[in-house]
Amino acid sequence: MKSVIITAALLVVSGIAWCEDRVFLKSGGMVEVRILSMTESEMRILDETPETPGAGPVQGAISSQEVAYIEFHLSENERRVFENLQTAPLSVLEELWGIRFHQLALPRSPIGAYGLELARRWSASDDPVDHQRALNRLEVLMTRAWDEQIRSEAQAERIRVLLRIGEHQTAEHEASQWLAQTENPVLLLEAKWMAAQVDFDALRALEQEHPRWEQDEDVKPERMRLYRGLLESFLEPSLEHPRVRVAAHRGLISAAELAEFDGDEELADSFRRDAALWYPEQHLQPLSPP
Amino acid sequence: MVRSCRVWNVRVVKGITACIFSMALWAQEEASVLQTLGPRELIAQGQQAFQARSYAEAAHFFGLFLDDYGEAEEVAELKTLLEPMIAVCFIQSQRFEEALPWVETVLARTDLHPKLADELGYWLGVIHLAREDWVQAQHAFGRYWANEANNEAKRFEALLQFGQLYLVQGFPEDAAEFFAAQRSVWSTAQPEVMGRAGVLEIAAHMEAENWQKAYTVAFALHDQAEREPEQISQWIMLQQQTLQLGQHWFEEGDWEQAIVCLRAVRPQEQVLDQQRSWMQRYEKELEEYQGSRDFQALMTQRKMRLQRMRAEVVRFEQQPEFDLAVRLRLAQSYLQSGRDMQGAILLERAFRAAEPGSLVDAAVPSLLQTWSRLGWHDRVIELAEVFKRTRSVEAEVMPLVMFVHADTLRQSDRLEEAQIAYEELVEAFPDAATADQSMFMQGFIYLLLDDQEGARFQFAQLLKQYPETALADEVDYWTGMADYFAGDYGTAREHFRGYPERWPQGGYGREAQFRVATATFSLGEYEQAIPLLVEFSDQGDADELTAEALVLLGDALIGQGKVEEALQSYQRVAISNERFFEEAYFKRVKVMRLSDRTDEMRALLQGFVENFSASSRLPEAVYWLGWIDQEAGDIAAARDRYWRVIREFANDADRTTLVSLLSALPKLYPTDAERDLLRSELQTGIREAFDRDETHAAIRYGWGLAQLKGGSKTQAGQLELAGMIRAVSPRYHEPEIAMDVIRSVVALQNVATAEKLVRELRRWHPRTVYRGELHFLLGELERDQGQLTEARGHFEKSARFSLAPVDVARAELALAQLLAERDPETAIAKITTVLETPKLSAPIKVAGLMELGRIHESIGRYRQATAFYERVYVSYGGFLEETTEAYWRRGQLLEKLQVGELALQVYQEAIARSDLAGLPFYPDILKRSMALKGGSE
Repeated sequence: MKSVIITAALLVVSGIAWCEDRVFLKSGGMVEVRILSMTESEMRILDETPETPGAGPVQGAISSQEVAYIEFHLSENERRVFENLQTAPLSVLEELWGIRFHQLALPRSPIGAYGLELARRWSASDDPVDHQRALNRLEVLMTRAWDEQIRSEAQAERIRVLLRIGEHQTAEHEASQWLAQTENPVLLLEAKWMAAQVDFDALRALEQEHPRWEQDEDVKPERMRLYRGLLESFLEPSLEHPRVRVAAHRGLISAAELAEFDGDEELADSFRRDAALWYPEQHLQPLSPP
Repeated sequence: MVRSCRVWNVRVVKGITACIFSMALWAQEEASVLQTLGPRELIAQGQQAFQARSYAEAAHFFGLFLDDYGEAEEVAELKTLLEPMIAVCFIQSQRFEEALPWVETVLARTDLHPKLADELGYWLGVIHLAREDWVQAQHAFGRYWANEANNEAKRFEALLQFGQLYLVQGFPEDAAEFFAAQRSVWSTAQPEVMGRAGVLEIAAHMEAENWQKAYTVAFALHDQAEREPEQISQWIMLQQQTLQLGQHWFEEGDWEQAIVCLRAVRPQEQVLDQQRSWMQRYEKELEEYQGSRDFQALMTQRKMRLQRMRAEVVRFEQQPEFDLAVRLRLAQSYLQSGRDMQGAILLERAFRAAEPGSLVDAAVPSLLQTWSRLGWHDRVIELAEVFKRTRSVEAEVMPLVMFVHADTLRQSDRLEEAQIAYEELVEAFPDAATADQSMFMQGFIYLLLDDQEGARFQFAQLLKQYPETALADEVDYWTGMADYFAGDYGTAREHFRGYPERWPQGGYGREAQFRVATATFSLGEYEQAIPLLVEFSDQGDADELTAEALVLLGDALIGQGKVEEALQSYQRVAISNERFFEEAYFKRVKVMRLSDRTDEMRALLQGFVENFSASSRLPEAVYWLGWIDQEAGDIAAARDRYWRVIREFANDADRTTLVSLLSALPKLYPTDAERDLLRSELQTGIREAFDRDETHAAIRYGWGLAQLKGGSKTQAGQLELAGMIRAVSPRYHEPEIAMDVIRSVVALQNVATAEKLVRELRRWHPRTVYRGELHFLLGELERDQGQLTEARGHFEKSARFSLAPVDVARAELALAQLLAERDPETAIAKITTVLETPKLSAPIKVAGLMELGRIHESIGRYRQATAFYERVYVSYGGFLEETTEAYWRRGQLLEKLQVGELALQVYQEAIARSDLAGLPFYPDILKRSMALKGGSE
């Protein structure tokens, strides 16, 4: 209780007052309270405006079975933060994460977005400690966030971080697992693309290790296997899922990058032309980072 | 398809009229008013019939009443009630001709109930449709739409019908213009109506051959379908229109447009799901509006639309290869547009997913040829083998697939497999178009495998089996070449002499002429060969055959003592034929040398050094220049010549022949004092190179200095080379230098130190001639680190890539040693084979014998083991360590065999060899000998 009040005070200091959420009950009723915690059986709440005038905040509990859904109410300041995540101060995001953490598994809670933004900031830093923080945070999001989109983005970001810090084997393992588990075509394409990034790294490493691979009978087959597999992976979205425009465009650009890496400028140009021809609106957007 | 659309529309109209929705409920309300008016019997009968849904009968009675009493004033009001009922009766009875005047009469009234006016107004259009009076129908629907008081949903339907009637009447341009103009109107309608209007507009544009406009509308609908799929009700129609658009662009050769259209066609299952979902919506709507009197005409149309959807679904389901057909067309579009990669990937996926005998089988040759064009030969081979394995031999494209398979194997140098594949094809399809070509390729492969007899036989069989073959010319030529390659020049010459007569228009005339000339030369008949070679080379071509002919001509002229003519001939060889040009150049040098034309020789060689310093024969040129100086007694000039070239190119990484020059230098400094001079010059070279920051030059001079000390074969040389280990980088420096450094470090017992250099040399020169040796070293390193699997791999590669039998034997021995614990019998057999290698070096023999002894000992074969140990110390007593160990082991085994006396003799023999004292096992021999002696005493 004390920590809740202190945290609430901090938020007030930072300009983000924590407002009450609306809990809609199956019986048709609705209460405006602060949700302190929620389990499968019980939701603990803090009612700051009880019916009895003059009475202070009252703690209570509602059976989770009675809850139909929750509308999380964001204050003006928190809403501003939520709508401008990329420019929100890190400290504010961390505070909001701390306060709303218990809401991670609740539908429509904004906590997932805060967590993801924090992870992205940490992963972009040069500090290995931040990278580890990012990995830990992303793992939490992957396993506990309610929103499938948040979980998937967390998974993708985790693989990106692992690649960035050189943990290629782990990245490959996680990408394969993700691939095997997802059925959503958009997410499947994202998982495949991440797995392909791992392979592209492996290809680069192989050529770095064996600069004259084309002369080496032992190495050439593996190099060609990686290269051809990657080409097929990158082209798959535009061939099989042309309506998933972001993935299809990105695949063509990645195929161009791969062809260029292979020294085939003509083929690279051909893929880039197709990307611009068939996905002109995507062609002007910056690509999502590998 | 658009034509069928028009027919479909007419059918729809007729169908509507075949299933009219009852207006009975609405009409009954009016009928009850009539019960009080007479002549009662007629009215009552009519009403009875109406309520019993005997509409024809009801119409009859009501008609009779109006005929008889209709003019009377008192029935005027009744008439206004009866007229609509009669209209309804005729409509219900599907007697539209009879219904029409009644409907028109009723609609002409000004006091008409709005709902009645609404419904009959819509029916008017439907009736005219049924009568196929398109113009009147259009007018009716137009009027209906124009009346804003009418039901909105029906108004939009009327507008759709209005537009569609342009199509029905064969005015697609007008229909297209109409639909396009009404787009803003549709946008206010239900989205589903918009979707249907879109489909009609596409049909209109396609009928009018405005393909681009059809495309624009289609893709707007696809975008809508992407955002809100539930708003498109005609899924099947839209996909089929899109497919048709794709087909159109394909036929027009606009591949990219075709690709865009074909990519947009959705998978069949998805389309069926969406269409069925819409059918369910219509069914629900029909249920909801069943009793409604205001929407009977509309619901009638809905029912018909539903029936049509059902029929479309059935027809669509009967195209089990719809998806495959779209994918194949899409793949073809990619291929036609030059997007080989995408086309091949799509085709391959379709092939792997499809059942045997499906549409895609016909496209497999195209798939294989595409992968072949892209150089993915192993993929071609794999897919061809899948096809051969999974498809019936009667598949139409099987002969072509088999041919591509065989041909790709040949191109991949898998010649034996290619032979088998060609043979399989000829056996299975003797009448195939590629059968004779397959037999020919078999013969050609025999030539490549150096089996001229096999080639001749194959070519003869080909002509026998396919006497009309278009390859007879090729067969003739290559049969001659089989004789030529076999060295049967006389036969070959006669064969090629007859070629022009046999094949006056043949494609090998020039080659035949060449072979006649060169065969004559090869027979040593220079006098006859010369005019033939002159005639050939005078034809003016500057190709390789001419170059070779000129060189041979020069040789033949030399053989006839015609030196000047020979020199001229050599000089004519074109510089573009590098190999023959250099050969001819040095033949000129040789001629001048043999004819003591020193100045000319010098000029020629200097010219070579100046103009062709990148040639691998540069050292040869420098050598001969030095020789000239030496012959003239001017060794200083010779040395100076070497040094000039060496200094000029010492730091040039591309001049890899410098090491040959450096290794030749010592010969110009034969005495000890001169060697000291050379040493000093090399040391100066190193110093100056470092001063100038010319590391490569410094490395080369350092290596040269080491060669002076014996290179990697002497300890002094080894020390010198080992000192270079940090400076040498295989990425930049010659493999010879790196290899010498490695050998030196290994000889100094420091294999681990050499490891990095070994790996770098392999990394930067995977095909180096030293790769056998490098793999052996890596095998030893891995073995010492306990990585036995990796070690085995390296030893296997060492055995495969080593050139000298001795090196192969060494690798095989190492493999056998690894195998000994796991599979002693195989190890014994391997080592026994190794020991049979001719000219095997003593160290390897000793190692092999010791290993055989150890293996036999480990599996309890003591007697056999003792024999091997004995051979070691008897035949190879100079290998002191091995000898000592062999004495000890033999002695031990003899003791185990209970032959103590003999064991003692062995120990004493060892002890008698003072050169073994201090070596491992010697103290053990001493101790054991004393023990046995004490025991025996």
